[in-house]
Amino acid sequence: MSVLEVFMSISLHKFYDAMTRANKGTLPLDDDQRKALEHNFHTPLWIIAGPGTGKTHTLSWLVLKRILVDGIEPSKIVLTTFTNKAANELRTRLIQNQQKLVGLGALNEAKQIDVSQILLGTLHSLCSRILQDQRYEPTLRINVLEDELTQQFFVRRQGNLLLNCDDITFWQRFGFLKDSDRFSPNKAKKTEFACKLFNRITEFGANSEMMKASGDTHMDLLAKAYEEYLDKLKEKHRTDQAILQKHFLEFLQTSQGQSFIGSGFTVFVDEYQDTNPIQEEIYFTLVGTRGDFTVVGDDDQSLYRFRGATVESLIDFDERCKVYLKKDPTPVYLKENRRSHHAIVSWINGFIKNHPDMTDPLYRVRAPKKPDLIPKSSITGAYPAILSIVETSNPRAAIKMVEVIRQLIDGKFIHDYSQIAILTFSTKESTWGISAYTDALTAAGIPYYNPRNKKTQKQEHFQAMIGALSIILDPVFDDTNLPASLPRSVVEYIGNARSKYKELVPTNSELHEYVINSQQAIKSAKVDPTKKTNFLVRQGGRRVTLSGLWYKILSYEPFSTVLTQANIGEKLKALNMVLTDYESMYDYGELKIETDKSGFTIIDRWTLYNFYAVFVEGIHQDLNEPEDDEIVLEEHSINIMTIHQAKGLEFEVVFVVRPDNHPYESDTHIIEDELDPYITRPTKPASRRSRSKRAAEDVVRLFYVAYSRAKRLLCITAGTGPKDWNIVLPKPVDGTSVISKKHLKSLGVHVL
Amino acid sequence: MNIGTLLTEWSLPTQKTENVIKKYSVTADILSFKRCRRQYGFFGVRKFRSATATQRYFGTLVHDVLEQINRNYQMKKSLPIEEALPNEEEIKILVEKAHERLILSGIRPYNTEDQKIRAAKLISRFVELIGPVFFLHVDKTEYHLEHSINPGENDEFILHGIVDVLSGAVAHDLGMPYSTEPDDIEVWDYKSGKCPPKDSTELQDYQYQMRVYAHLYRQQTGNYPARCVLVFLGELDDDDIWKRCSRDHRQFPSLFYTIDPQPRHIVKAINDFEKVVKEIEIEKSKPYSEQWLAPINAPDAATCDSCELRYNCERYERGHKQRKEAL
Repeated sequence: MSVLEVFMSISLHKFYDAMTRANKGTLPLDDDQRKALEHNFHTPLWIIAGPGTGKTHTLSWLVLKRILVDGIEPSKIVLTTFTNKAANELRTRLIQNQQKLVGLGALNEAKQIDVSQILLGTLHSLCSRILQDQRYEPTLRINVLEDELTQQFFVRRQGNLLLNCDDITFWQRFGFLKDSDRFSPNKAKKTEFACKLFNRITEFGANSEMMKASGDTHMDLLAKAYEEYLDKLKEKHRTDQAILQKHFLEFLQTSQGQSFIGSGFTVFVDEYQDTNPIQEEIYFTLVGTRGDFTVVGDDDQSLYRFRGATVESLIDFDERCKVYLKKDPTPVYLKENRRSHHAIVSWINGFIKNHPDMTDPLYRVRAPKKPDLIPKSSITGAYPAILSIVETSNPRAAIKMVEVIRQLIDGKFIHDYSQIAILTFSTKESTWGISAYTDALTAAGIPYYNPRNKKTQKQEHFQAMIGALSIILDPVFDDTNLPASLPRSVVEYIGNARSKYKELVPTNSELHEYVINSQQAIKSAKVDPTKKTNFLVRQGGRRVTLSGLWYKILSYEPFSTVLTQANIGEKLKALNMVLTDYESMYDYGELKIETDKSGFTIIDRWTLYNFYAVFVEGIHQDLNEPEDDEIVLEEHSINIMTIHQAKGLEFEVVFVVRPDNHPYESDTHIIEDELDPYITRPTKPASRRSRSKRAAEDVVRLFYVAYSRAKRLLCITAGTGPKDWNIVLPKPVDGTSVISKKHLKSLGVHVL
Repeated sequence: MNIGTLLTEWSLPTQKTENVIKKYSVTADILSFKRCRRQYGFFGVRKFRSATATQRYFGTLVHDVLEQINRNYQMKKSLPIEEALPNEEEIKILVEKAHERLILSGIRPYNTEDQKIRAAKLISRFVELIGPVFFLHVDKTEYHLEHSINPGENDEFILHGIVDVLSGAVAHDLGMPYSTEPDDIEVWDYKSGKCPPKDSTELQDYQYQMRVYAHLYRQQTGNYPARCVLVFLGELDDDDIWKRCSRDHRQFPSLFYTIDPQPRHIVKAINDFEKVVKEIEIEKSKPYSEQWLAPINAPDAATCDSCELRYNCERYERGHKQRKEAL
């Protein structure tokens, strides 16, 4: 019997008393937050929480109230958030609030509750954990393809109908090729596109039988390719992230799953605006008929359509509740913004409310009856909080931005560089991206941290490591000797990598000696002609693996030293992670050998080809450091991040750089439409806005997130005039377009 | 451009330090760190991935099969015991299935045939010896224990562990040679090897793990379990004893290792836990280049022999020589 079963729940009055004592005599809830806590839960609760309105704060008190006042057992609570980092923060807040209730609040009952029993985490982590705990047969010890690249390695290894599809019209149809393109994508690109299509089919719940029966040859091919992919996953006992959720949903529908659900969980979902249809179905299934369901989110901050999220989950939550629960939810709007200067609040209000792309007479683009945010921050000074740098080129704008940063630091307006963030659509350090800005920071000696700079694969030690592996396995690199051709860019990358290694040789003789010895060992390795396959073995008979070689190389200078430097160590780790993912698909990294024409032993040509064409191809253009979603903020540096990564964060000063750079209508929107006829879920919208309008909505929401991260100062920094980026500006009340600095000033922006 | 003249009423932002409460697992964090801080830092914290064929295969295989037997038993427990529990042949099939799953999940063992045969043998003997009593009492498996610990201001952390089996009074029904009650609650943990020597670090680690579980169990339910029992299936490997044991578990004196949840030992274990967490936190707060150096005392040979960082590790003398070997 759990502790909870032996104590009676307390009154809301007593709970509020304790909260008040815990908070130095004031109840730490505004009127809207109180409404959320006082909801009777006979109907679902629909919390629409604008930026800076205390979402996590409300959620953590609400959960404690449900346990202590409503008597919900912690183990019957499901609480999900979008990232592991957010889950840790929520867990921390729950524990701290519980301790406050026990300590200052003198609420003894709070001592007895065990918040660790709450099923708290991202939905992925909970699916995984519950399926494991329940020992659900189809997923027992299942191997999860953790990220997109690993999924692509899998598809590449296992093969798929789509990898042989050279029908250009197929790829054009889904927006992967332009109408003017004349060649079908290469294998790596086909794999990437195929994975994207498969993920959307799973997340949207598109019916492959209907696709096959449609008489549409493209859909028939896609459905067959998807089914082939599913078969291969099953055969290899693997799953991708989306299909793991499908397994979970199937589990919930079994008798074992039904008994797990019992009379239903009390479900809280944070960041509900980025829920996809399969997740929505999971939540409504977990809730059961009791309908004890609370969603929290902000449709204006929905950013993940490109990963299958449908903002309608939140906007049309009332409709969804009617379908699943036959109940109307109660909306509560959290509107008191405690984060930002009032001018910033006013700016974001004006931006979203008056934006022509955010209103539509036929469709809900925003949650119904959404009120303006009310500024309640303690930051109140009468200064211009919205600045703009508008120059004729990015290098000029960058110089000005650096000057502003200098003055902020020198004038002691802020303590540390980490109080500044540079947010942008793409953090790639190229001319198209933000190289002008990072170059200017570097020139000025201002430290910055840009983990998603897309430059990891160009780091010299990273490349030299690949070069060393290549030189051991393939002393004379000649791509024409491989069984199939390599893309030119991969050949170039390998050449560069080998050169980077060779540059290390004069000063690292031990390493080179090891490389030469290893080449010799391969050359003289024994091949047993009676065996179909021979593997390279080490002394003692153990098979040599790529990772094994990698760790040995790592133990030599200069790698062993640079491993201890954060900027390089983390890049080498990224390489290690991708390499082991690759190995898990390709013979565990073991190396097949064969005899060449002169009788020497060499690495089997296909083994080598795969190493180049799959592994090197997978990383040579674009490899992020790990912690993709879980952005780590670097102390004493300006943090440069994509707007997506900045979700949930706040900074004293925010530079929104290159507003001319934003997403456009793309395959994301096309796939939504193309798969739509094959989706049968009951909550599918009857129709939706055009692609171009949905794409425009996405841009507005993206910049709404960017602007609302700023606490004290927001500076929009551009190397072109506002006519190139007026989609990310509020529409003036007179309906004109913003095309000049003068117009910007009329919007209340102080142009520097 | 003078920003200072613009920001006349600017208020200086305060610097916040966010204190996120971290979770520590008894086995994956604390025992790993105690074993070797360098290995823990690289593989446990920084998340480098290991390339060697796994050591976990045998233990996981045994664990998975016992778990499957329990699930099957729970569904069939109204049937006569010989139908509810599998015979040797059926166990071989379960081992084969679990093996296939492990291979597909990416675990790469050596000498699988020998290991499968051995696993089936140990499990069959375990089932035959105490299966009817043991599985009858199994209450929960893979039971998560978690609780926050607060040794001082801003020092909180969450302690986490997963218990193999939470059971009723198995020891009582087996007639173990100590005081038991018919309503005892027990924590059982499967170990696939033999019982390590009394003064070994390995056995001390197991005891430590069980004491922490006992503490967590008490935090979660209000009471200590009656006892924690480690069951060393490797002990059942001895064919001679098996032949003459007449299915009496007492013929295998080291099959069970019982740990009484004595408060003073538990307090000591928890204090030690707190100390290790603090050491880990200190390590994490060091500059990157100074983190996770080799431990002062060399770990046991098995830990080093399977470690990829051994080639240039100060605590592994043979590493330098191995490094020079080709491939």
